[in-house]
Amino acid sequence: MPEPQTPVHWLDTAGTQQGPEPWETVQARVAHAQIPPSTQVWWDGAPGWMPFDQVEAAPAPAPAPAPTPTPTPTPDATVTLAGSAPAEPTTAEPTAATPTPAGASAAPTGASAALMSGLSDQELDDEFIGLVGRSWELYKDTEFATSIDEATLGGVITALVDCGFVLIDLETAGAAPVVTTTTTTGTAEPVVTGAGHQLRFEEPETQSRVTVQLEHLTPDVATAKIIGHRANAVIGYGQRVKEFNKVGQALRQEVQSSMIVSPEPGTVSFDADLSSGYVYAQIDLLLELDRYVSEDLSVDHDLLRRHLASVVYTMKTFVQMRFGS
Amino acid sequence: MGLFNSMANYAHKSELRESKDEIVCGEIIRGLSHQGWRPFRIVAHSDRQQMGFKVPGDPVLSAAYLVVDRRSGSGALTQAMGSKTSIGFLAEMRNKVSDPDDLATMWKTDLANLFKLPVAGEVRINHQLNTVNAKTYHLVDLDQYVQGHSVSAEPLVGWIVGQFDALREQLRPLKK
Repeated sequence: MPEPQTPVHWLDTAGTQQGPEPWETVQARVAHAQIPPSTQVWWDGAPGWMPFDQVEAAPAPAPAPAPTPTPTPTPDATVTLAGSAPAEPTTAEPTAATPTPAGASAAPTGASAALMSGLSDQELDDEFIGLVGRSWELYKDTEFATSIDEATLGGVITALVDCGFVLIDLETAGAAPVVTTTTTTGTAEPVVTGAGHQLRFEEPETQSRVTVQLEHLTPDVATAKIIGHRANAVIGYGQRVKEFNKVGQALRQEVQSSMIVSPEPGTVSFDADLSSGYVYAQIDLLLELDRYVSEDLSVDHDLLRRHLASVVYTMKTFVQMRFGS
Repeated sequence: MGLFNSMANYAHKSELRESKDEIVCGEIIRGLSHQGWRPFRIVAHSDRQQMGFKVPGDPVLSAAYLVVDRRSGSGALTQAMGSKTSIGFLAEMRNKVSDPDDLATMWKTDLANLFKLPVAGEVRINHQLNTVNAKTYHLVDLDQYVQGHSVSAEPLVGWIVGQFDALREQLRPLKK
């Protein structure tokens, strides 16, 4: 009987050679009824293929004896394992002269066999499936990095439409280019180059509006892994005013707002739409998108609504203080 | 002041009329989100909106895409004709591994596609190595679902889910 760690080949019910795997693994397979006890097995040093149960019935190998002359194997070595068997032949592997069950392939030889030695077919399959699965996980990492801003948009839409707003404007600029510039400290910082996604909602009863602009600043996986998914957001509140002079006043504010080339977070600016008579107050913010969107793309709508509510409330106050309610 | 108000009112009404498809998109995103679908792709142009959703736990689909494409323009013409809109459905299935046998299947599918127009509910299957898509289009009148601010999105969302159920069944035999 081979040692517990001896690599052993065995034949499945279709006669296909399996293994090698440690003898104790083959024993476990039989014990768990994965393969029958009559399974043919072979290992380096065995006289030929033989049934598992016969090998099991044979006495355990004696401790390594002192070197003694080894009897020469007989050409038609019949396997006699029970009782006091003659010394086992030292045949290296089954040959044409050795009895080989029908369908049995030759014992492992060559580079491929060496490559796969010590690994069962099941283990090889498992490794392969693991590699492919991991590849898809990495692919999904990239997909997530390019989707998180749009998942956030979906969350914003759901949160506001849930509250009774209707979406009246939806524009996405695709992947708006982000230009990086080197600051005085030598670090590269993203510069907002234009609008990313733009949403506009209207409250049916009051015709007041909420605007959201979002631009993903860290769409590549490496940057996102280090600093997280950040986005520049401009969130605004707008309402209709009935007096033309108030819209004119807002237009003057808009001109002043346009003086700000690169707004810092917390900068409130004003905007006016002369044709439909709306005035807006809006604020620049930096958001961490991964606070709202999990890796499985589920969105924390409550947190999103809470944050939107706080900004809309403040912007509404700005508008009403300047232009009346 | 009266003239300004009248002009502003007209502009506001016009904006709302042109926003019909966006209103519907907003309701679709909300409705499907409440069904557990997760929006991950939103691409919008002036009259064409594309939305992509992940469907967690779906045994076949890796993603579901919708394209809302307004056909009848805006303004007075739209008012007269209604709001005819093409809604495209694309169900995406991904196999983790593709092999040469799949290439043979792709040829067969491409050949069959030569004579298929995926309109009015007919389904066209398209192989792209690991990805297999099934798509179809329907022409709908958005006025059925939107009147001004008033939206009845529940039947629309139910109908959309039904369309994807049908596409899923077309893809199921190709799932490895």
